[in-house]
Amino acid sequence: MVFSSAIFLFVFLPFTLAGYYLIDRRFKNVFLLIVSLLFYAWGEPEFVFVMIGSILVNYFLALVIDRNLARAEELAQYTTGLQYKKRAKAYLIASFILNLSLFFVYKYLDFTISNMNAVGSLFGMKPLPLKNIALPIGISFFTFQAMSYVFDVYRRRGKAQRNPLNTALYIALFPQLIAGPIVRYETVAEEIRSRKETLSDFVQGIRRFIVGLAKKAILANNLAVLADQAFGYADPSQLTVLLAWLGGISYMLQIYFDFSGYSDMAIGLGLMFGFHFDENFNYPYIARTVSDFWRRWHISLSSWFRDYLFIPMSTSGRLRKLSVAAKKRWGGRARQLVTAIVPMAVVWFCTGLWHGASWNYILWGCWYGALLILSLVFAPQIKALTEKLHINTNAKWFHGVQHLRTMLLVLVADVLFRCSTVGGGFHYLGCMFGIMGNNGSDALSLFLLQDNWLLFVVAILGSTPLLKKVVEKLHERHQIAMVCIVNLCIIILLFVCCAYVVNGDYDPFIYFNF
Amino acid sequence: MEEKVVEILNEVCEEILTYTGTNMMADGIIDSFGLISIIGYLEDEFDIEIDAQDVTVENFANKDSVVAYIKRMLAK
Repeated sequence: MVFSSAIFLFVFLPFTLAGYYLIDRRFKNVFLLIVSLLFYAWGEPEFVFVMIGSILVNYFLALVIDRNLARAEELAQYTTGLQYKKRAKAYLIASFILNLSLFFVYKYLDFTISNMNAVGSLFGMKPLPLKNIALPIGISFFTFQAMSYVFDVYRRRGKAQRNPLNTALYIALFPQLIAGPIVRYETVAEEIRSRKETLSDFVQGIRRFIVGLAKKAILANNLAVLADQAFGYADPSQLTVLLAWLGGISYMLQIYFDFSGYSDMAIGLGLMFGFHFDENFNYPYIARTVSDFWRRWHISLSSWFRDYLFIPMSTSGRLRKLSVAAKKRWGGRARQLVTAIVPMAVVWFCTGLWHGASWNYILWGCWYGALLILSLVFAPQIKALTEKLHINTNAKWFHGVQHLRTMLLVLVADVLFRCSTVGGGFHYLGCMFGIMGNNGSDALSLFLLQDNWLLFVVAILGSTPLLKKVVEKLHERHQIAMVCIVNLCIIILLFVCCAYVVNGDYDPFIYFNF
Repeated sequence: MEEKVVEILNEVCEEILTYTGTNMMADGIIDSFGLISIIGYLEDEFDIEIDAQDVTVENFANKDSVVAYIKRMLAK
């Protein structure tokens, strides 16, 4: 079920809210779990059992880890205590293997077979048949949440749930189930046990949901029309330079409003039921560096990889030994680089792969990984060069150049992300820079620019914190008037969104594919 | 000990010394590279091994929390 569908807005959500607030507190979690499973089963009836299987396995393993750690703490002064700790770690590894196996079978098996076939064909080997396994919607999100649960229990960042229904609720809670944000267990562990719904949170949640719905239904869906047209050319040489740029920028804005809109709706729904999820976006298109961009974009995924992969790898014994050896040979900076570069390369390869079983996603991840690693390696040289050229790095013009450079690098990444093949991505980039023998512009490109310029202006301004700052400033001076105006605008937005939802075609979210 | 920690934090990013918030990673004061640089320097300086489980928002929230964490580590 999609948040921006009539069935969700006019049937599922009102009945769920009414049921949740009418039912006794003891049954609220069970009620939320049942409606969450219904929400998932609506589109994926057979895969709901895959998710339930994943929940049960992770529930039992987390309990076993918790018990072993408790015994290890009790017997900390004896050698048996260490054995319990080692056992807990073995169960943690087992849970990771099981979760990743499930993930692999449903998401990467056919990709692996087709790549093996491609290599095998070079040696004249008979191709293996593809399994054609359908991808359960949201598997990337709920598998990562399940892993977060077990890992946080192991790290003592949250208590293991004794009640399996509570574990199931954490993994299957419908607001974040199919397209994130990836809610880390430690952030909601207490709220699953006991939470307090407040009128203020509820109102804030409704506002947030409507803003998210507007981002999706009004901006993302309209930007998608232009992006689909530009990326839909069968013969790339027919694509003009102007249309290639319009399409690229449209997609860049579309993916932001699509995904951040979904996250807004998920966070808003969470608030309506008393949950406080962490933010997933923080105006990524105002970033001046790629590193800053990734601190603002899909925060729940990048922080997941940072905390559960990057830091454990960086601080692992083997890498520590390697970095100490590098330090002895090449000095202190070599140690820092070794502990950063190796995990960064792994993290960015995995980030690309997480998005999909396709080489374009892997290339997309490697692009970001390479940019971040290069900026790290050459940081001292870049600093020395700016000093030699007497560039004031705090000057506004320099910030502007940095911003444009970062947006261009993100745009290149988004093109690679949007095209289903690596070759298609390079062709499209070639068209943007006019090296595919394509024309600069034509009547259609100019018409599309004239027809969509207002949409672009609204979308670009909407991707910055400008409106928020203006509202906050005016709110300080005219508190009551601004509350009325903001609420009136939200109500108007709701009606406009409803009109789009009722009249519009069904349009799934981009991140449903992951 | 405290002076050495401050010296290390200053070497990685001098902004940490004036930062008074409670999550220097989320507030963009340091990035992942800055964090593991601090960890590397602290390990070398105090001859300790910092486990991934200890790399938490609470232990690396700001200057004071890093100092407190190292104090606890050295007291073990």
